[in-house]
Amino acid sequence: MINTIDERALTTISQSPFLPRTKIQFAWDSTSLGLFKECPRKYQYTMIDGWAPREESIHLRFGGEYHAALEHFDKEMALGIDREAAIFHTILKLVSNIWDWNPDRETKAGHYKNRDTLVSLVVDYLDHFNSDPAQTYLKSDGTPAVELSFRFELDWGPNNDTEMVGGNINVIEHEDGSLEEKPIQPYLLCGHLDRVVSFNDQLLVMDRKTTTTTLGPYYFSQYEPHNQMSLYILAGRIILNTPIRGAIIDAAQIKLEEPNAFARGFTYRTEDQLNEWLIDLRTTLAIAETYAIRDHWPMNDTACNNYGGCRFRSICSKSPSVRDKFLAAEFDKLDEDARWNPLKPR
Amino acid sequence: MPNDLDTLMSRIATINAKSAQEVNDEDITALITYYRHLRSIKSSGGGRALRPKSTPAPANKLSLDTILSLSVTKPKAPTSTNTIVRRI
Repeated sequence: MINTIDERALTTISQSPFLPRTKIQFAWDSTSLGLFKECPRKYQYTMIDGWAPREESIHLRFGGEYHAALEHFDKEMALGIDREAAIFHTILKLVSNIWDWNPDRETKAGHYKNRDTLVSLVVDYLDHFNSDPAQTYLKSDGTPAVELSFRFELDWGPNNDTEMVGGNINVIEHEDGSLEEKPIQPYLLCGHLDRVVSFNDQLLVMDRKTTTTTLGPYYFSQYEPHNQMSLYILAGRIILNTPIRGAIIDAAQIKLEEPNAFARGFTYRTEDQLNEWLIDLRTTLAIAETYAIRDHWPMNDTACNNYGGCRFRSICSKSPSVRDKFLAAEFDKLDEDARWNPLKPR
Repeated sequence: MPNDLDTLMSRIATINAKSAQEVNDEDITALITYYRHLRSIKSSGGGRALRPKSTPAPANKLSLDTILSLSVTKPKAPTSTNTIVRRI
């Protein structure tokens, strides 16, 4: 059902994740898939139209720099560099990356996520896990398994029964005379694994999260079931060809008046659960293709209040005729290059 | 320790005013020390004190004569003209 793509083939040139001249997305990652599953209209506004809330850049920058700093640290530790020296190098690199970053601290996002809170969070994380029981897994070539980009080719693609896709099936004749239909452009699943670790004699994918939410059972319960975790566990199994059983959610809570908090949650997937996820995916992608062909993305009005409220709730609550005006007033329309693209390398 | 903290915070203010190119290795060490120190302050419940303080309004100055001239008698009960009573 799944074919992997050689990691070396992941070039720095990113292409469109959509089939040419269509709104049919063939390269999916957990973000775009999650958007579509949550609400097709939210997916349309974000992925197709490129609307982004003004504060989103703060969250993206903060998360990106946090991941990059810890990735740098993990790589130095895997090379056997002294811990304090690795912390110094990590903060030096982080500071050089973010020193000129000055988000508006009057906004909620900028209040919690800025240069000071980021350096503080990284220093606290590295001290908190001073003797980390989770050890970075070393790949067969000896390099540490951190920030692994992946792409899978699924053995099916967008349908060929529409004019828009224009015939997406190749018929291959085998030596025994049997015929096999293969998609010319199969669906791709893409993403980035933060880290693969060995923990208590088992291999787990580790995904790092930053949040302002309290790190209790309620926070961790959101990851089971969870689109991203299921995809990442599947990805870990395929790209490392190892029996990865689950994922660690390595969560950091940003706190301003109390020390930053750190906690790890565990989530596991059986073979059957992963197969079920793939079967469901087939249906989900077929629905996405149908919406793309009709160019209509229905609103899921039962999801508007999830996670404290959808970013587009204020738009969808307006009459359809005036929504574009409100979108233009409240959101930035990103250029094609700046939009979320699962094929864009980190 | 407060003097150490004052010195450190003053140093951090100086570093924060620098451009990215001017930040040197000693500054990085000072930043790491500062954030570790900040964590211990937060742990001991001193996080609120790190908020920017608003300047308290100056107290009114009262002379001794003014104080002695103040009446110490009980205030009068409100008169009926100040009170709206709805009788049922």
